Amino acid sequence: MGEIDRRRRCLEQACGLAAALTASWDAFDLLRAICQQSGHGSHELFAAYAFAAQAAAQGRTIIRAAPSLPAGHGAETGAGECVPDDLDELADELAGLARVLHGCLASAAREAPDPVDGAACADAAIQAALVCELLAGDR
Amino acid sequence: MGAATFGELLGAASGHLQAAAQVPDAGLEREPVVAAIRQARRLVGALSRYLDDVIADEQVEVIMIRDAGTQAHAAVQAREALAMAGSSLRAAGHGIGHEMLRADPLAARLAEAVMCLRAGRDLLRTHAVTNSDGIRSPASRWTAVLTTPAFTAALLDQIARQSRQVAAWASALSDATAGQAGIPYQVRGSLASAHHWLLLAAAAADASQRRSPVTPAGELLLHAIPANAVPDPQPLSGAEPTAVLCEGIAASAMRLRAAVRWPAEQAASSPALTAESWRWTATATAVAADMSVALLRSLAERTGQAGGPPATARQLLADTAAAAEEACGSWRLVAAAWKKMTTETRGLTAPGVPDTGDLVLRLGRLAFADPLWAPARSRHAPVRDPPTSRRAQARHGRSWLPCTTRLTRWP
Repeated sequence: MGEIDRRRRCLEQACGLAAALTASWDAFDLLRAICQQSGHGSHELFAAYAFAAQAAAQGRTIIRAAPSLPAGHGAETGAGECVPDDLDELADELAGLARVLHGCLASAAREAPDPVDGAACADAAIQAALVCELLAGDR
Repeated sequence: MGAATFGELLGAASGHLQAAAQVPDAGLEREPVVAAIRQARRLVGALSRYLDDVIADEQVEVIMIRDAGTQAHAAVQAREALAMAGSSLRAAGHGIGHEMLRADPLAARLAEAVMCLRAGRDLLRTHAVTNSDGIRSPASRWTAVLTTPAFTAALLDQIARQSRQVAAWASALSDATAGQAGIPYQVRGSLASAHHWLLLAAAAADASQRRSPVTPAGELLLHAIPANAVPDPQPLSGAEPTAVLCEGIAASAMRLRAAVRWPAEQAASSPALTAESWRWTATATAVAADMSVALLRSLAERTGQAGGPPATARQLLADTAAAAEEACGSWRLVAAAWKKMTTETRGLTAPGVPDTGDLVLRLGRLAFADPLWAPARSRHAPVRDPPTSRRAQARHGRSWLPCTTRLTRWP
């Protein structure tokens, strides 16, 4: 879970729009990579993970279009980190990351001086909320 | 209730013909006889149209190959005999005038049979699209069935049977009109001639059976052919019973199949077809395949148990589950590939998205023990046991197994 914690800290410590976009892109990319390789061992959780991977990929695509995303960001990362056996525990961790991501993007959307950046942050925040909703354990 | 199949229309036509053959022995009046003969002519025409279709697909064979045992030659000869029968019936009708005809049960039965046969041909023709050059191209997955020798053999057999039924009616009417006042004796001769030609048509249609006999599988296929009609959308409405879930899944699958069968020449760039739509659809399809695996394995485990599928189905279900699992893996790869691509437009705007969403939700509610299942983890539930007891089957309907087998063929 080290990488998930690291990305969450990055989001919490992001200062300024460019840093928020960079941290958000990284968070979406990690969410996408882990969700994509998880869940297929469990029929019960496969749908949640698969649709969360889809939403994270969409969030990443939206962030990529933001003008203030620093150049050089937007490349594929690897397959993420090793996925633990306990899919419920992992889902809780990922939902937590998505919750922080949503907060970061919602805040960036409010403060972005460029309306295109603002719209990208707002749209991406919706995807983060969707990932959180799909992976959170409580109804 | 589902849409009518070709078999149901043929069965209805046959029932009307059987009833029409019960011609009263006495008391026949001139007008009803004229009306019945006219309907019989229309009926012979309707049978001929089926043969036109058989021959249209085999015109080269008919011209090039002078082999009397083929299905195409049998169709040509049967059609000629039906044309002669039609001429005889026309002569019979002329023999007793052209008065305005009033409704009569005998003619009405024949008219119903004509309507069923015409509707049956219309049903078959929904499976092909004819362009302005007259070239037919497939419009559904049933098109491949309609061009098989097994289907043609079963169709020729049906035409032979119905020709015999009309022959029986012509013979009965010929007998019944003997000595009836107002009905000239030439009418009997024309009806006897029609009877003769109808029997010859049946024999001609049967002639190809020696080389291409009717098989039980061919008959089953012939009867099972549905109309290629796109059902209306069936939006979800809360918790639904199993039978409604299965019906909704089948409707969504049919709508999606229709959507993917657009001819390539009609394809055009559309702003509605976004990368997001493709990616989401691939993801949803992978999820549908995964849930099919769960359903099929659950069924396979219960083979041979009371109320469950027969033991012989175990391997078939296991193989089908393995195929669905492979499909799931392939769709995951497709979804992953679309994650690297973007389009100018965004959003879940592709036409198939609502149907795919309905299908996934209904399939989840069928597969898992939660009538309000949704993909979110907060609604996750164990895989549901299929209804195996007689009481459960009565409650859920018997559509569970056919539904899962339909799903493995989607999209």
